[in-house]
Amino acid sequence: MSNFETVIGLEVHTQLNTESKIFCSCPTEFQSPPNTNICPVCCGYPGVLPVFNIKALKLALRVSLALNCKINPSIYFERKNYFYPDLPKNYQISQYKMPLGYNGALLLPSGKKIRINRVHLEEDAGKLIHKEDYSLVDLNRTGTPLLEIVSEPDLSDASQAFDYLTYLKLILQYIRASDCDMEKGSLRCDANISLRPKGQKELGTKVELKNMNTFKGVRVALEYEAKRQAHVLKNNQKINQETRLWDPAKLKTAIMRTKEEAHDYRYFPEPDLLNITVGDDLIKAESSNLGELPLAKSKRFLDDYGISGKELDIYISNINLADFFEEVVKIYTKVKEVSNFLLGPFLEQINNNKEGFSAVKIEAENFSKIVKYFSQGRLNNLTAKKVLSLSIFTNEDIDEIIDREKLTQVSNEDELLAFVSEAIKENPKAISEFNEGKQQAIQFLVGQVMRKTKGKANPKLARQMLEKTIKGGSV
Amino acid sequence: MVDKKVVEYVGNLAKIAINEEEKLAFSEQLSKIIAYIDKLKELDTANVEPMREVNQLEDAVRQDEAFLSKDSEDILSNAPSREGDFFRIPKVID
Repeated sequence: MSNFETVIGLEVHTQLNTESKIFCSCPTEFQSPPNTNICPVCCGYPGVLPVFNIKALKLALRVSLALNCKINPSIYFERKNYFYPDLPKNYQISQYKMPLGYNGALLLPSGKKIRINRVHLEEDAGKLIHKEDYSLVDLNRTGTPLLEIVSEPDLSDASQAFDYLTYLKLILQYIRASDCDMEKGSLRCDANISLRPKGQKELGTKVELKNMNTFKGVRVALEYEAKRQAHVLKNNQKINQETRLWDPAKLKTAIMRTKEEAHDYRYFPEPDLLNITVGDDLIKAESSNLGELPLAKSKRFLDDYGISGKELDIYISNINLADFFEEVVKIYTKVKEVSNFLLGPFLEQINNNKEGFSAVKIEAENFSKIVKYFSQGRLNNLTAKKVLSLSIFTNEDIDEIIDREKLTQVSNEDELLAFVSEAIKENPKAISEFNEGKQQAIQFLVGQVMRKTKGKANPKLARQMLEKTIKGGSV
Repeated sequence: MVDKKVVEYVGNLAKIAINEEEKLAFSEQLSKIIAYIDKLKELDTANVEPMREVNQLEDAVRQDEAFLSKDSEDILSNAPSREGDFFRIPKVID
């Protein structure tokens, strides 16, 4: 493959975070039963009039600004005509000649600049479910506001494409334009890929890749396709300009069957919608709604909290966690303690929950108590985790949990003495091992004390008492 | 000149069946329409902004408020075929 250079451009479709559809008031709710969020407008009944949802423009504008695009001061919609049952109007309302945003760029964390060709608004299509000898149509998704983000062919391999997607998704989430959930289909990606001999300026014949359902899928599909094209070119054969579908089971791309003449969309201006002015006040408002972008947050977390490396990566890629962290350290200012507990037990709980961060109910102030009590020795490693597991998804008061579950750490020698004595009596083997110099034996005994106290003993104190008692021979 | 081939092409795009007699008739009619457009093209419009709508209105937009349409059930029952809450259609292949 060394004689060739890979050229990749990506086309990303992302659903915008609106309550209602782009041209009618139907909800955009993902989980509704089939065909409940439909009306005469999105079902293409004759005589209906679409009315544009201004929120879709605001969010699209925000994305265009985040991607450093130039903005067309007045936009209009066009009809893209094709027949397919997922779009009952037989045309998709889209933008063609004058996209909202154009000539932008995304600067990746690696420093590589990817130019953005265009950002335009359109409506999503419905969903088809294919059965043995018929198909079913659900039009709930039809008319959901969709943003198409087209990059220039500036990506030079599959892993760069992966980085671009990851960073683009992060930005879309930061500016609250889309939830970018690929499982829900709110972010989708097609790719154009071609090869050319190294040093050649002209682009080679490109192939369009579809049906990649994960970012990893995009990367693997592009790696496969680059190899396939190199193989074809090495054998002095030609690449056909075609659309290929990624098959995630076979890990291969295969040509998509298309009818000839399929791509004559006969665009023309949508006569049912008026021109829309994208005024300076709107641009100003959305500029200020951009908030902090990932690179700026990264710098601030390093400067303000001294967080770096892998820990920083976790916060930057998880905006909810980062926000929660900042809320907590406002209340309990020991950054290191808070961060250790968040990235450890807290994240573990979230990763074990199907709903992820959205299931978290605990408030910062309540949470800060756990970290504080842990640091004061009132809770130990085990009891702190237990308290967290009981309150993270309920926000039950930490003090009440500790009271109810009797979880206060026993740091009182008098209270521990009985347990320590018992542990020593019951384990003469460990004692002799310890006396022979085996340090691990003490760890075993500490474990016994922890068990007897149901995890409540202060392990440090238990250890001290054990050592003292054995050495003193007072048992 | 819109010949028979173009009529067939347009018919294909519009997914309508056209018989030989119609092809001839449409070819004539469409040719006349195109000729008229060609006539309009003689005007010098170099300095004229394209007009996309005649109302001279702008910015008729709505706020992002969602509500359920009362018509969804009617729309489903108007469909030639349904299965539960889905529209049922002949098998489609890409």
